[in-house]
Amino acid sequence: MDPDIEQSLHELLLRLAGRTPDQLLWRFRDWLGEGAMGTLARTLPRSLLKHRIDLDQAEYRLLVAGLIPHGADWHQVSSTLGVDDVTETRYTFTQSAPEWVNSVDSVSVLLHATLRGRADVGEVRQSWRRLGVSSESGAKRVLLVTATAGQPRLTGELQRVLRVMGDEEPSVEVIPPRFDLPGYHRAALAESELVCVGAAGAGHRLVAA
Amino acid sequence: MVEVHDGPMDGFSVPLRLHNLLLALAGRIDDSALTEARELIARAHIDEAVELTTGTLIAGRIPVSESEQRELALVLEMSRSDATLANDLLVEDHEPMHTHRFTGDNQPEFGLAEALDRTLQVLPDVRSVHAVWRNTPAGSVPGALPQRVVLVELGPEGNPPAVAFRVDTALRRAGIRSVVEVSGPGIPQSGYHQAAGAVATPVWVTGSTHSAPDYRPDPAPPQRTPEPVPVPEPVAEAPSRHGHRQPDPEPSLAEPVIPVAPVVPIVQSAPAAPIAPVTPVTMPEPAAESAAPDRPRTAGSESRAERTSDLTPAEVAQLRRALAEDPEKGREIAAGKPSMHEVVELPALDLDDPSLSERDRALLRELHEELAERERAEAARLRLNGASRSGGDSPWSS
Repeated sequence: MDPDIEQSLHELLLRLAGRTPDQLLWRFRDWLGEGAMGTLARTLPRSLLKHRIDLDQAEYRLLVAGLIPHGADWHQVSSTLGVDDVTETRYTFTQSAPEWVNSVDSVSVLLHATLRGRADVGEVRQSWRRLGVSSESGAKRVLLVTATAGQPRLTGELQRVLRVMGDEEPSVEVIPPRFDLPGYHRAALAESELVCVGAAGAGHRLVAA
Repeated sequence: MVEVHDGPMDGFSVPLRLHNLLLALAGRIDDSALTEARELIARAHIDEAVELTTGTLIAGRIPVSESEQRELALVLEMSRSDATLANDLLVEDHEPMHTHRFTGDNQPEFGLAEALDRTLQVLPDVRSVHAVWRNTPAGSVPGALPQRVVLVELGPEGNPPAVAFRVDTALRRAGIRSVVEVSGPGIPQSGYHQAAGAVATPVWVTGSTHSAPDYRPDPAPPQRTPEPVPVPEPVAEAPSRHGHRQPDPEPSLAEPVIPVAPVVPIVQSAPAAPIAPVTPVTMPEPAAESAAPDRPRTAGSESRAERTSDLTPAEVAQLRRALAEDPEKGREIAAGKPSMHEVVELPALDLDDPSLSERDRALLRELHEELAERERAEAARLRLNGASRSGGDSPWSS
């Protein structure tokens, strides 16, 4: 697979966080991690249109670069380009875990055991997302990871881990170097806690120590 | 492009074809995909449902048979999706056997009866609900284990995709994580469902004698002759929330699974039907028993419960419709108490139905005669005492 094409789609799916239903987004990211580009080309543009998710020009260019080479329908792709401002997400983030998470957060422990010192992985952080000012029962873990290579595959792997641990629609944001963070990710990072640091951690900090 | 043919599913509607495909894929793709696809089918988003299904199979490199590939291509085409997507499927003639481990221990039915109480009252023609734990992962992106699998069996009036979605919604609302498998008539049970059903615990059964065996491997060829269906008014019994079901030391396929825990009825209304092999202990409903017939019956020693359990499928269908529209009226019909306000019209007698025994025919004749006589008596009484109808709420007040 062309790494540029893969990278374009990965960045697009990153930028769709908070604007696309979780149950769609994690699935598309899983398909990208598995290299199912033809499947994404036939389904992602339609899905964006059906869910009325407009893309800005930068996102649109990523979609064109990622899916047109794999046979995406040009009419559908071109219809995704929006003119108005992209809708802001209504999520808020907090650093503290909701009460239903045990005093021992087994997911964090597992991530620590898996990713600490791992090659190509920088910082691993997590934040808790809420819709507006909803109660704690609606809090959802958002994992924020920096990685220097293999972001789509790492996303898929971490999603599988979180699903086995009970998160049916995991939110895993694997951020490449020199990525211009959207507002969703900036807000999440501002209210995040460190889980562990991989082998590439020193040069790829998300939040100043 | 994949050549599209009509296959064994020919004659089913597109949503049902996809639903049946999903039944065949249960245990091979992840439970989230199954559940989401079923919701999309129920919500009339067939294209998204089949794209999700096909995409999950492709990305997970999950092998399908040639006939499954053809069926997926057909559904893609009929739902105006891109049928060429099916070309990317991994097709293997000899599918590897997917073996799953199920257990009925540790109360897989816990809380289900309460969570589904209202749903089962509303949805038509639900024959049985069973629950079981699956201890093995499904698909390329499995969820947490153990996974509760809820097996629902429908009669011909039920809509499997709709019931799958509604039951799943009710369980999620109650905080019960599960995957709901709904089977209707005419579709053979897959090995996955047979293995699950063999050790499943009953949650809710109508008392029908052909509710449970369909989930269990049957050494004899299945007999499709219509059997007398018992009264549809739920005589549902659920193991107590506080009871502990004793694990069966050797779960036998031939032996019924009868919980030893005390049981409580979810819906108390109709007299107890004859106990089916997997039916928990039933409790007669006092109000129905007190509804004594107002004329001596000729059927000798037969109780009302025995008689109502011999209704024909057509009569059961009428009762179900009545229950769906007005549960009170349905109960009255089931108890042999036609309402004062409405004339009960039973379907025409079909005494030539070869599936009926002589006893069935005699009972049918008697039932029709009795109802006709009641209608006549009621009509006469209404003519004489029409003013009493103005009260309305109490049909037996006069």
